[in-house]
Formats: sequence, C-alpha cells, structure tokens
Amino acid sequence: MQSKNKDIPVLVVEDSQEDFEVLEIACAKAGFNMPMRRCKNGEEALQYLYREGAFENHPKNEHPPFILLDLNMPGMDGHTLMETIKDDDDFKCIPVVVLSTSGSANDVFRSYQNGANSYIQKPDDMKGYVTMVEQIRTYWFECNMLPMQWSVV
Amino acid sequence: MMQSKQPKPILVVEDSPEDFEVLERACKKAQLDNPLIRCKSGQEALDFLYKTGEYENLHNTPTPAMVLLDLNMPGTNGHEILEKIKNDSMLKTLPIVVLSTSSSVEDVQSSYRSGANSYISKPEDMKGYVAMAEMIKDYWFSFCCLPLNWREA
Repeated sequence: MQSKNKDIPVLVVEDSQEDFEVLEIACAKAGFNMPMRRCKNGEEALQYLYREGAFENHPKNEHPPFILLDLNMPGMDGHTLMETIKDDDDFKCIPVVVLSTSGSANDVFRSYQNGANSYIQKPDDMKGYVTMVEQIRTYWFECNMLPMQWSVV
Repeated sequence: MMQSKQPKPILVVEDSPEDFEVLERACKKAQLDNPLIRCKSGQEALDFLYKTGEYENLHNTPTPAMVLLDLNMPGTNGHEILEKIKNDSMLKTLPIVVLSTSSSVEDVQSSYRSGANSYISKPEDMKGYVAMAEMIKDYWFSFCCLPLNWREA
C-alpha cells in the first residue's frame, strides 16, 4: 500500500493552461519528477477531491499529498476553495500552498487566515519557476514531513 | 509606523535546554538572523502571545514572525497550543512549524489537522540542524510571502 502512495499526484488548481505548462517544464528542468493532476477551477478541484462527476470512478481515499492553489480563477476562486478544504475534516490536513500572481498583503493575509500552509508569488520567468520548483522540493518534500507518505522519485 | 531593520523574532517553544541550544547554534551557523525567543512551556508561549501572566507588563514584547513548536512538553502540550492559536481569529495567521522528535504518521497528521503550517522532525545531529536552519531561512524568510501580523494588519 505504502509504495503505491508515491504515485498519487499533487493537485494543482490552475485555470491558466500556459502557467501550468510552465510549471511542468520547470519541474522537468529541475529534475523534479512530481506527478501532478491539474484542475482548472475550484469546482473541478472539489469534484476531484470528493470523487464526484467526471472523477467518480477514481480510487477513493487517495488524497493528494500536497496542493498548489491559484487564487484568481473564474467560477469558484482560490480563497473559497481554501475555506472549503480547510473546513473539511478529511482534507484539512493536506498542505495547501497558494501560488498566485498577486503579491498584495491582503491576499497573503486572507490566505493564511483561511488556513493556507504557505504563500508563493508566481515567478515572472522560467528561471524563477525553476528556482521555485527547487524551493518547493527542498522545503516541502525533503525538509518538511507531509501527512501522507510520499517519496520523491 | 517605522519599519525596524531588526528582523522579527522566531518564537521557539521548547522545554529542552539542550535542544534549544543546538537550535540556537545551528541558526547562527546558517546565518538565520532572526532573534530566537524561547518559551519553555506551552503556557509560557500563550502568556507571551497574549501578554498575560509574566508577560503582562512587558509592553515591548515584539511580535514573532513564526513559531517553532515542540510537541511533547510537560503541561500544555504542542497540540493544545496549535489548537488554541489556530482557533484564535487574531493569532491564526501566525505560521507555526512543528519541530518534534516524533515522526509518527499520527503526530504529523494530527498536527496538520490542528492547523500546523509545516512539520519537521528534529534532525539527529548538528549538521542536520544547520541544514534545517538554512532551509527554513531560504524558504520562509527569503522565498515565500509571510503575512503581516495581527498587530500590523
């Protein structure tokens, strides 16, 4: 059972196809083999977490070990999704790191208030993205312990 | 209000003088410049944050940027501190990194469930402590966005 856990993808909630692709390329460049599942907005992420709609046949009880969450998305935005996740007894223990273009003190404060584990402002270019991926790997996946067993491949 | 040059302190809640000393030396080596303020028990940490008890008349107690929290302490233990801080609308944005000898899945999961921002299991030697202090410095104090605290916001 435990060895399978490394295949459970990190959930990336991101409406921009372009930003997600940059993240994927940055992971490849940093040599960080992190399986990712992208959801395009808050509603889709909730369906994925609760295994509803298009995801009802996905294996249950396989919570993502980590969530990267954009804030500004059409439909249910990141703040609302954060509140929902952190109010749910099953999901609240999953670390959620905000990844947003916004660097406003208000967005940062509100995110932590809603239970964000941390907040990262989106880098401007590929070089910045690679640095970010390295920081995430080093801190969250090597220094920090995640609530679900998960090993970096 | 004037921004002071001095970095904000890190509140270290740690009953063991040996462990605190190792952490202090490691931070120095890693050039993590935030002053460390030690509270020896959970109750002392709460008194520090709420300016009660022995801290009642200390009006200049600086607001910490972060808490490093041991779990197993006599009296009010780490889990209770977590619950208390994360259920307080004023204090809940304060990032709390658990730093414990325990690496049990139960302790990790229950810490996240109570609102811990991150969980680190105590390194075994000085080299490990220095590496940890460097990662904390790089991630929390230069890479990610920290919230303004409840007294500033």
